[in-house]
Amino acid sequence: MSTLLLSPVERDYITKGIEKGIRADGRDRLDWRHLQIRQSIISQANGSARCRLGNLGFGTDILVGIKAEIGQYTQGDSNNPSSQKIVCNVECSPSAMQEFEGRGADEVNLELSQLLDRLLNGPQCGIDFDQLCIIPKQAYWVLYVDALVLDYDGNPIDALMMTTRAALADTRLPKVVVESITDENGVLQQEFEVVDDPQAAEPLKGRDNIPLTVTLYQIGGNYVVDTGLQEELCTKARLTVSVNPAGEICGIQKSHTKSGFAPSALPEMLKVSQKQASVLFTKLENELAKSSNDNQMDVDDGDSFEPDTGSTFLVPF
Amino acid sequence: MNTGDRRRVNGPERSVAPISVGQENEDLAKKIKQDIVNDNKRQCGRNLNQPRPLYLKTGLVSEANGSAYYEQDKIRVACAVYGPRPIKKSGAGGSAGTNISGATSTSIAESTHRAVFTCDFKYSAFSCSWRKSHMKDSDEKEIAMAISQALCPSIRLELYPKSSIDMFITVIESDGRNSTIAAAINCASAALANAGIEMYDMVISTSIGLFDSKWVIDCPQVEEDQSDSSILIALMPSANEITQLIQQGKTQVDQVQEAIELCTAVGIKLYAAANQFLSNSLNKN
Amino acid sequence: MDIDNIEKVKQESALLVTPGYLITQDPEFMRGHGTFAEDSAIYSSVSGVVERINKLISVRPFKQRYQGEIGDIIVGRITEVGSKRWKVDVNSRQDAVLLLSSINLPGGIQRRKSESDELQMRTFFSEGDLVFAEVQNYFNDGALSLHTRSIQYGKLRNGTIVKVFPKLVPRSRSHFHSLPCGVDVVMGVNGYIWVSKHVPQSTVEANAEEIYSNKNEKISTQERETIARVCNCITLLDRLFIKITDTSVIYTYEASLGHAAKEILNHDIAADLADQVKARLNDH
Repeated sequence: MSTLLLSPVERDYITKGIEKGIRADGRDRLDWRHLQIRQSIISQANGSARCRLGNLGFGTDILVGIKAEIGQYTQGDSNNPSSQKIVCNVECSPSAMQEFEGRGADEVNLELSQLLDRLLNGPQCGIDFDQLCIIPKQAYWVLYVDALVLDYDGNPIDALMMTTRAALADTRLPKVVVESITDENGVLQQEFEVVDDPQAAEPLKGRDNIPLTVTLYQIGGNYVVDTGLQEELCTKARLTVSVNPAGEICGIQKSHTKSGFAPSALPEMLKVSQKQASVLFTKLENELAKSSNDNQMDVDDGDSFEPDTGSTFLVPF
Repeated sequence: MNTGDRRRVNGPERSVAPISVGQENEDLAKKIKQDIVNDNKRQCGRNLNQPRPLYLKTGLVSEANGSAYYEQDKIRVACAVYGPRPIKKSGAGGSAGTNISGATSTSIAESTHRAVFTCDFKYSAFSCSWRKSHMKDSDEKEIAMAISQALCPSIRLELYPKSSIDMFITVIESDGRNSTIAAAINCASAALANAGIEMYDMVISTSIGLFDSKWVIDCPQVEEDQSDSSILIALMPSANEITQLIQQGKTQVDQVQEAIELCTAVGIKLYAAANQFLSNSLNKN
Repeated sequence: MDIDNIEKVKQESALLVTPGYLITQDPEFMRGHGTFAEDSAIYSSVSGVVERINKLISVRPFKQRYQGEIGDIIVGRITEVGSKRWKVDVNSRQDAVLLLSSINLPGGIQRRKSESDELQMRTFFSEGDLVFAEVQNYFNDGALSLHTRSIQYGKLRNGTIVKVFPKLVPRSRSHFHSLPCGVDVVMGVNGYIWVSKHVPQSTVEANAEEIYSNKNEKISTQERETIARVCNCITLLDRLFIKITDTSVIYTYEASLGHAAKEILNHDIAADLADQVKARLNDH
């Protein structure tokens, strides 16, 4: 239990520090921790990514795997092309924190899954849903987004969205060939076949438009981004704002039970999140570029004594 | 043989209105949106910023410490609150819980300083266009969480250490997801007031939908299906605090601001109306 | 690989072993901590370094939960308030116990504990509070019994906690250090390190009534920056597996002055700082 306990003195230290603009680890209010991200680390999945938000090998660690399966159209499903094509599930692993054991993580899992679901299912997601349709009103691709929280040190939402974006960007959808046959009654029947060739698989259209989130944690009278576990325990209210690369708002969610926000503070918070989101987009972009370079170097270095598993998530230190 | 609950009469897994002429339906839906966008006209005849008239009555459940019934056109919500009462030992349903990441349940250690607020939200089987299962689904659990996040800031939990306040909300009939949640929040807040639990302010919630660039207050289901974006806000008008804010779909920053202002204005009206009902009920007793 | 020639062990600076490693078959040796014996052979039961004192062979593990010894200075967190006792998390296999009779009460050190004290135990220590204490004794099941009967022990204030591997904090004469940079550090042997603003001993003694206060003193931005820097230095030492002593912390602190406090934990800077500190530690 003790990891989730704070003394009143520590609470005061953290709150007052944020008031003064210097956090317990020396960061400013809007500073992010170090971000590391790797793509394509799970060979069995259509797309995957792992992200760590933290310093020197510890921090919030999230793994997202994406599986594409073919779903059948059932009578009564909404005609809306964007509904329920992406199924999200987030699981906080009990190995990340004692408190997640048993049913302890139920609420967190539910909250994160529902939030992810809301952000991804709909036009705000950015993905071209028409691509997921194989034969209208018959068969379509369903993307299963499964996230695993492997290590927990605050700010899971933003890390989750970054990993999901990277994983979706990494996703390749197998090619499908649709054949139209007219049967003896003269009715047009459509059939399809999945092409096995991995080379023929296509990336998702519109993957660059997937939004990220910025979560502002209100501690005392101020708000900060990217809280560690201790700071999270001091949080009175939390506002998650989802922003796409065009700067449009794709979702807002308030959370935490202890307090609300002054309506006058909201416009500013929205603007701050918009700005921070663009910071995050650049960070993510840079980190992904860096990691793909690293991968290249790994391949060259063939004489290494280390067993090469190819997809190891290499952590410095 | 029968896999369902044998104590109940089980309907089909999911039933659909037997309308086969899909095209007509779609045309009708498009017309709803066009009327709003072009002519500021709504199917129900209301103005764009006019909520459905509300009816509120408190004290209907004799066993409960507080209760309320709330009606807004087709939406009907009943709710009861029990407590403050001693915390049920964990194991009996209530999870020990963690207080990280916005989870609503308070950790045991924290309950020595403030009350624990739990919320149970349930759609009745016949409240939606399809039959709801008697098992709680994840949507209902999330709504329960959103409602307790909206209400908790208003309750003076620190006055009731080691106790729990338990809220049970039943949606008898719904019409629009967001407006039903808003109705549930309003109803629950009235029930808390009825229970005599100390609060900073009443919480009033409103929902709003975006059609192209026009915001429309309090959308019923037919309108909600057509909206581009929707926002649910809960606020404490006197304390001037927004306690819940959920936005879905794509918008711009200034549009969100506009929506918040609109909702606040409508919320204040609803607040006055709800208070009227509450004080009337006091006069009768 | 059998290491019969123990002299070789002595010469090599460190023999690293993993669980199940056959250390020796020579029957003249005795088995110590971290080893087990079977058929007069001694095997390692943990992964760590082999140590030999005369005929006693033991293996010191790299990473292990804290194991208490009498006289250890530790930092712990109250997890539970019971009757006449507190349960304290000390990063060990059992929660430690702090008895009401083992603490100093405000207003006269030699006062008798009364019934009213029992009723207001939360005014002394409440759940979540951090205590600076000494191990007084231990029970059969491994649970420690603590005491805070000294003016420097008691509730910790004005700072923040850093958690490190317990093995990295060596037992030494003093665990309370006032660093020259104006920061006080309490290095709990259990791996909990408290970093706080420097408060002169005279002030602490003058305000004996306030030992259980839950209020921080005023801490300036400058002081916060220094505390953050020291915390990050300690985290760095922990992650890079360098012994955490007042000297190593001061060295890291001095080496880090060229960077902003928040930059210390950046991968490249951290590696660079660690090299500097290691070199300097080896010089002495």
